[in-house]
Amino acid sequence: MTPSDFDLPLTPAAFHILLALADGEKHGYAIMQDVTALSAGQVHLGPGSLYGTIKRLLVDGWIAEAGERAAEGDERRRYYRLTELGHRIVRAEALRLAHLVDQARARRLLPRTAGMDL
Amino acid sequence: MNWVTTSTRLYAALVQLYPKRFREAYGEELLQVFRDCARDGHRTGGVWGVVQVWMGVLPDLFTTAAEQHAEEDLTVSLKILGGTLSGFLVGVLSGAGLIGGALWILVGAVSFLRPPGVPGGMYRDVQDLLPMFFSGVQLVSLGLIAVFLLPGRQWSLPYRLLLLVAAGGGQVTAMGWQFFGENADWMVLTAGTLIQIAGIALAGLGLLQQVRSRTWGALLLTLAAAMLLFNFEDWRTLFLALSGALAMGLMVLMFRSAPGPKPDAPALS
Repeated sequence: MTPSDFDLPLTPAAFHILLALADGEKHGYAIMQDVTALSAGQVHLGPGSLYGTIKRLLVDGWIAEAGERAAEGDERRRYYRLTELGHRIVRAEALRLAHLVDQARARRLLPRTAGMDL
Repeated sequence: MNWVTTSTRLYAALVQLYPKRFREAYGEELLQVFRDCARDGHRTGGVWGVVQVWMGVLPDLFTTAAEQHAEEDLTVSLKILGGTLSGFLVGVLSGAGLIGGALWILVGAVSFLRPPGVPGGMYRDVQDLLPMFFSGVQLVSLGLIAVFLLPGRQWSLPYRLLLLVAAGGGQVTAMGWQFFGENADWMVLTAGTLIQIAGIALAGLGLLQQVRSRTWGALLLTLAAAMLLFNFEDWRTLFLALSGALAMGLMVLMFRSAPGPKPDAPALS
C-alpha cells in the first residue's frame, strides 16, 4: 500500500499526534504537550480527543504501544510509538502540506524565503 | 482545599460518561493526563489555572463521550440488528420510534401556534402541548433504547422485541388518544388494554433488572419519573408513567454499562 492509497488529508488531531511521535516514543501527556508546542499553541487536544484519536490510530496500525514504564520520579505510564506504516503516512501528509505551501508561494501568498514574517 | 485532587476526583466521576469499553482501555490514562493538566494549570495560574483547564476539558469530555458512544454502541447495535429477523424488526421499530417521536415532538411544539382568526381545525390547545411533547420524548427514548441497549445482551432479542411492541404500541395508542381526545376512547379500551398490561409487566421487569444490577441511581430516577408522570385522577396515565420511567431508567443503565464485544484496543495490563 502506498501513501497515496491512504485517506489524506489527515485530521488535524491525527496529523499532530503522528508528528509528535515522529521523534520517538512518548506517553499521552507528552504527546499533548508536544502537539501544543508544534502548533504554536493553536491546537489543544483534550484528554478525550487525545485518546479517541490514539484509539483510532492503534486500530489502523499507524501507531503501536511501546510498553509501560516510569520515568525518574514519575508514575508508570503507557508509551506509544510510530509504526512503519504510520511513518509513511505522516511523511505523505507532510509532503502534501509542503506542496500546498509551495503553491501558496507561487501565488505570492507567502514570502519566498521560509521563516520570514508574513 | 487541594484543587488538583478535588478536580481529579470530579473528572474521575465524569469519565463514567464514556462507554465501558473505552473506559476500560483508556480510563486510567485519561485520569493521568487530566491530573497532569490540572497540576500544570495550578502551578502556573493557581485556582484560575485549574478553572481554565476545566473550561477546555468539559466541552472535550461531552463531545468525545458522545462520539465514543455513537462509535461503539451504534456500531455493535447495527451489526446485531442486521443479523436476524428479530433484529431487523427491532431496527424498524426503533427507527419508527425515533422518527415518529421526533415528529410528535414537533407537532406538540408547534400545534398551539394557531394564527389569529383561524378557528379549530387540527390545532390543539396549549394544555395538550406538554403531554404530546412528553409522548414524543418517550417514543424517542424507546427508539434509543432499542438501538443502544441491544449490545447489552441482558435480555434475549425476542424479549426485547416484545418490550418494544408492548411499550411502543401502548405509547402510540396513548398518542392516538391524546390526538383524537374523548371521541376515540375505543382506541384505549380495545387496542390499548392488552398492550398496556404487557407494558406494565415489562416495566416491572425493568425495575427488577435495576434492583438486581444494584443500579440504585437508575432505580431512583425511574421512581421519580413515575411520580412526575402519573396523574392519580386518570388511571390511563399509569402506562405513560411506567413507560416513561422505564425509558429513563434504562437510559441511565445504558450509560452506566455498555457491554459488547471486547475492545479492539488492548485493555490495561
